[in-house]
Amino acid sequence: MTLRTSLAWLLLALLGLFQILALTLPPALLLGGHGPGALPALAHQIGGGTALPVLDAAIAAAIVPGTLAAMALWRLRVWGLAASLLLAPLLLPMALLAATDGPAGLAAAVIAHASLGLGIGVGCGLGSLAGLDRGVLRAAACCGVSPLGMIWRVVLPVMAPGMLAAILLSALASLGTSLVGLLHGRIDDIALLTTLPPATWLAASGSAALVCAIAWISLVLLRRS
Amino acid sequence: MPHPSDTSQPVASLNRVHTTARPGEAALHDVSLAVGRGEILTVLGAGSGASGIATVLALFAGFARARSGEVMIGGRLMDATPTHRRGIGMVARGLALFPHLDVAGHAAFAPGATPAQANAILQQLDLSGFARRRPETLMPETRLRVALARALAPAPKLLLLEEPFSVLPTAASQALKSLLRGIAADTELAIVHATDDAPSSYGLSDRVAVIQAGVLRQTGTPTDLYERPETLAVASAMGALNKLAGTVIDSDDDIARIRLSGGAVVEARTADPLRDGEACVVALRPERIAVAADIVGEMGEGALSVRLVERVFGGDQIRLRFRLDTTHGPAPELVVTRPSGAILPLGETMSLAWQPHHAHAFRTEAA
Repeated sequence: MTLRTSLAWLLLALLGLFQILALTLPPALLLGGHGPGALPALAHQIGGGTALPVLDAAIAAAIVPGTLAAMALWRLRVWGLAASLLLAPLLLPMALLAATDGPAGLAAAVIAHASLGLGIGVGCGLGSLAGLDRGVLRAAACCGVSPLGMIWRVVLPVMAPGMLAAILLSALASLGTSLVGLLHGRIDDIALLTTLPPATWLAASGSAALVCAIAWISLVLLRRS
Repeated sequence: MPHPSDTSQPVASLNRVHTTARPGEAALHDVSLAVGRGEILTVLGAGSGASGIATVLALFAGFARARSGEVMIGGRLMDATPTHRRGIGMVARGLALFPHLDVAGHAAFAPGATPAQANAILQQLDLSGFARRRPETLMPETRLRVALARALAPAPKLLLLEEPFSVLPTAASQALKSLLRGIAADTELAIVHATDDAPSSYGLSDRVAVIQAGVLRQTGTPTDLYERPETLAVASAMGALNKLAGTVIDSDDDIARIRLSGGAVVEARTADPLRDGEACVVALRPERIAVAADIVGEMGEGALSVRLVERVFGGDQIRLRFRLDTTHGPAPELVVTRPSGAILPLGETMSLAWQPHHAHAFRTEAA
């Protein structure tokens, strides 16, 4: 096994372990959680602009480790358990998170969103590499391009559209996944959460008729086009 | 300038190389071959299974390692040299063109390729008009030229070709072969061409090395291997062949008299001496067999009585299938090719004959 192959396997193992921890161990357990009464503090904190670190974590995880993991999976032709672990956040609910407040709560949210971003980055990366002929790497080597040069001049340009999609999707998913707190606690608590999506919903819910009218008009226009 | 077949100072060589088997490829056993400056060597696969020709290219390219023996390029041992430092160019089966680059980008891709070199190679390969086109929009022949441009732009000392002509029509492949011969002669570029299809080596190669199941069977010019094959596998690899089972009656120098399984007695040349009574196979090229409407008695000794059972038009030639008249056992069949225009009625009894030196007798176990 070459050094590059060993590093690729090590990367996949570390990221797979991260995904397992992020999905199966609630940060509340790890970081000392608090009761439902802490939710308003967390929500206020996130709604007050600290969603940015969470968003950045999601995007960064999608781009850097997500892209590297996608390259490793493609190059090693590894599917099955390795790919499933990395893609799991796209399928499994993250309802166990966001149950703390303060810095611990923010850390928990960052971990959760990084996990989601990683899954999105891997999925988009694999999609962009799916149709790439593996022979291009050998062709590049025969032209005198070094292994790092291959990544920079061949693999990354081919992955660029997928990476852009990963940025957009992870950002959208991160903004939407602040809703995970909704799955925790009683329905009364929903009103206490002021993250962006529920805040939008709460603002619009008082004008249900207006919302319905806008939705109906949009549908008609879309059908016509 | 050294003669194209001068391998006293080879550009690349394999010296007594042994490899382990790779998925889909045979292991090489004690293979030695060399290619000189300006020479085009075809490594031809023989036999029905994996031959090992892809492994030969992989060794030169650095994609595979030898278990023992030496892989040399430019007089240097290549054991520890990675692919990107070997000074080679390669056109693999499938071409592996870059989807994100246009034709000009491919020509300028190699780190050592200057814009002037890239433009020159585009002109040489008639690609100047396609510079801004993407590979997926091009026809197969043009895509092959793009792959060649990418491989040749950095002026490598060794070019490796893996079945490049398999998807091209005859006229297009002939034109490209002529172009490659010109480039090899002008730039003293050594070319190793791997294929399972002997006709693709015609008109291209200075020498052919036939490999069967990882063993080098014979090396020589295409004419040598076609006219004087040393084994049945080499004879079969070099072109269409009729095979007739028989037993040696006696032999004199390099000509043996053989009784065919149907009872007829014929003569054939032997590469290795055959013992009296030994089982053998008589191999004949379809174009080396004479056909006459005369009966066997009038054709002389060695003629066979046959019946024409099939006639297939092939453009510049016609393909005739004959069934031998035998006294016992299943009737063997022979395929003969003649120039178009020969009018021979189906079902008629005719005679076939050939010069002894046009037929080759091989041991049955050598097949």
